[in-house]
Amino acid sequence: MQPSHLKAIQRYEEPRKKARELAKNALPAHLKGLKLAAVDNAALIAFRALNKDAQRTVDWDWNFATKYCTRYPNSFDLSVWNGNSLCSLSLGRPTYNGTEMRLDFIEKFTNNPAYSSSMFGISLLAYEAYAKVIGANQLRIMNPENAKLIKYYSSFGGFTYKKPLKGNPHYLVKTI
Amino acid sequence: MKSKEELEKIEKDLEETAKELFKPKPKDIEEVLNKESTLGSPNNLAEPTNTN
Repeated sequence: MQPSHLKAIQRYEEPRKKARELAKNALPAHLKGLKLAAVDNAALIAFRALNKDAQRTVDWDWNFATKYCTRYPNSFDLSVWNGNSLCSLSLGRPTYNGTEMRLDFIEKFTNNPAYSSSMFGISLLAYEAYAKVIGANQLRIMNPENAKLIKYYSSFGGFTYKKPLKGNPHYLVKTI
Repeated sequence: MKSKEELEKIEKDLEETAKELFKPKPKDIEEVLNKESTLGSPNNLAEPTNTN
């Protein structure tokens, strides 16, 4: 790895930490006990145990996160924990010009049903925090597949739906 | 990195966003949020583009 690339990764480490801290501080009281962290070794170890869960709906190997975060030094990674139990993982990165933050993919795990309906919201809050910290002015949810969730976030979450255009994927976008 | 004042403003803005995100939801949406395990697509990671 080039020293300049390593320096870029390190430069964004503080904004990533700050965004997770800001998002956690802004969570409502009933979610304050959750921990927001990186997709680090601890998260990947926990994932490996959950990977055997028959209820998983995607066959996605989160070990890819390490490569992704190296490839995109300004990317944002988030793991949400309830004690020692991993609740969700997500990855995203700013667009090429840095004015929009993409939330590329969230997976939540079925081991924490009490917080299940809050997991997407927690991630959205953290990605919005990171977008604001790095100076992006829009948040995008790339390729939202569920029609009901598209409708919901379009109606209540301040998002607007953008159809696929010229080979680019569809997404929900919110000005922040 | 943002100044202390800017970060305080961000935190206040996030508290407002959180009120929207975590307010009571219609029953059908609550069910969808409980049921769905993914949002977005892994294809976004596997096929990175620098143009959008």
